[in-house]
Amino acid sequence: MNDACRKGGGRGCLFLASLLLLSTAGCAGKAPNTLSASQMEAISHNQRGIKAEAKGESRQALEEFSEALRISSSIENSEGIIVALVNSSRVHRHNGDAKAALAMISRAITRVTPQSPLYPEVAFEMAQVKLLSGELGKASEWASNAVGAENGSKRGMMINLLARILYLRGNLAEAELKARAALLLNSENGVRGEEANSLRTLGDVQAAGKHRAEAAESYNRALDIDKALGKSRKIAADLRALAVLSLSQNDPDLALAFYRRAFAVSSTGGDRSGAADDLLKMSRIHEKRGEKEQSGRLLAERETMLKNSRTP
Amino acid sequence: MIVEEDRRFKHLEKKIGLFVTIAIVGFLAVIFFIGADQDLYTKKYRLKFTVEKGTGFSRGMPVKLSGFRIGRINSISLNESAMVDIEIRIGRKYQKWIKKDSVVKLVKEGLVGDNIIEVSAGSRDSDVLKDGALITFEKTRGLEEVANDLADKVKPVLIEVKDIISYVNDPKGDIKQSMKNIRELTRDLYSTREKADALLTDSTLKVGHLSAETEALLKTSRDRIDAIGPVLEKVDRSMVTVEQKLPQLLEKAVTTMDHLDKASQNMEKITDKAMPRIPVLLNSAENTLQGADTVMDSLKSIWPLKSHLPVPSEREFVPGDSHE
Repeated sequence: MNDACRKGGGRGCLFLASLLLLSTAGCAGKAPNTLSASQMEAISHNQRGIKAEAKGESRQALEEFSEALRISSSIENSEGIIVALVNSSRVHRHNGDAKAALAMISRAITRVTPQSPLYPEVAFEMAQVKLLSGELGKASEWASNAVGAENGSKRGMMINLLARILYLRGNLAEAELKARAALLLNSENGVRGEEANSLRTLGDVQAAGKHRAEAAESYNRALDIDKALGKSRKIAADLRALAVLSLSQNDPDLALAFYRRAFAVSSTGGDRSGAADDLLKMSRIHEKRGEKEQSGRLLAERETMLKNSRTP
Repeated sequence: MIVEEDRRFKHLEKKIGLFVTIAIVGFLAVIFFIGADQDLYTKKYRLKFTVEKGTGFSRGMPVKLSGFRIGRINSISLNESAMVDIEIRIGRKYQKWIKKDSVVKLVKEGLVGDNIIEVSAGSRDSDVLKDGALITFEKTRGLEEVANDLADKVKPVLIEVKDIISYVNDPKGDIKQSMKNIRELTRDLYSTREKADALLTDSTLKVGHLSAETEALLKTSRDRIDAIGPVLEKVDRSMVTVEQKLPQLLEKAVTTMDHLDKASQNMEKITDKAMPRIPVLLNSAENTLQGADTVMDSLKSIWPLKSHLPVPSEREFVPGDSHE
């Protein structure tokens, strides 16, 4: 450096000094929070589990969460334990195993206090498990707890769940209020998926209240968002909701058209169960119209589809 | 003077004399035979023996040797020891068989016969017993004693038989209950048999129907077999075609197999060469990955990269959805 200073003069020295200052500037910053190797390993398993579940590999996901739970338990890391339990419960619930899901989330509940930042997620999961079990009262309680505890971006999602439960319990007025509040919140927060969910619930409430035009508008808005997000199952759900609405408006042709679209989306999106359900609904419409041949053909097609879905 | 004119009175004295003589001779003959029967004319000698009780003995009781009477009891008397002395008289001609080792026994002739004294013949080397000598008496068990003994033996058997009969006759006992069960079983068997008969009758009817149906089925099968005929002809024609083409196909298959064989041999060679290197390569790859990991970790901790990397969080959840 001294040689450079001698050769380049003062400007060269100034440049080198600035470079040195800049290169060491970051070292003076606040050191980030450090996690132990075990914690890092548990986090790694948890992340791999989340990725596996996103790919539909629920067995792999459960193994990863189980390993994360084991590591967190070995170092008494409560936060890690709760996260692993909630994630395990969620995977079991996605598989339709309410019993296993309840076992997991019940363990998580005993480890978390209402003041914990993890409480809203745990309460939300418990509400979902209770909803899956058909315990609407309990589901409503836990959803309210989750809403009360959450102040972040997930609040809209939790209010949506509460609105859906209220709708299922027949409390339409309250459900509409909650759905509208969730819609506003999700829209403000830019949570598009939940915004569509709010609109779907709102549509359900409006359809139940015979406000069919408003309901159709809500469903169509939800459909647009879901299409933009590319969520196949949600698109099919919106189309089915529109089909039901068409039937209530005594328009079976339109209903059939919606069901056909839903069937196409589900069958190409890999949801064979949903597609089979669409075929059944279409068959019933044809049967009501006295079109026995078409009804029978659709039922046969459904049988084949279910048989194929059962074959590994 | 009365003249004897009746001819029957002629020689009367002679006739009476002859009659009396015959009577006297007859009387003397009777006396002689009686004496002979009573052994009065044979020479005798005496033998003695002592018994505890005189029961069963009597004067004149016969004494027998090998079933022949050879003498009689001459006297029975009670001695100073309150035992009974018995004297027997035996014909002298039998003395040669009665020796010191001979014994006398009180026995019965048959089951219900009279009591007799039986003398056993002595051994050849033993001395003959002389007149007045003592002969050994051997006590034999009487019928009463035998009967008592038998009774003692039979008694427990009878008690057991009685117990068995009581056990058999007990209305609550196993035998009676078993008999009752057998009776009930027999009754049930009768009803079972009736049912079986009914079932057989029913089965017979059904077999009749079945055979009729079988016949119809056989007829249908026959028709079907007849219909198979043309199909078989087609198959036959196809087989001819197959036979023509099969050798070519087989030739091709053999060629293909040869190629496959060569390919697998090549593969084997390659594998043999590569296999020893695989563990080394794996180790090397692992080391390289570890190195890369270390480098990545180091890079992550260097400014300014570290400020742009997301801090790992424990609070990562599977994304939730209110409409799942």
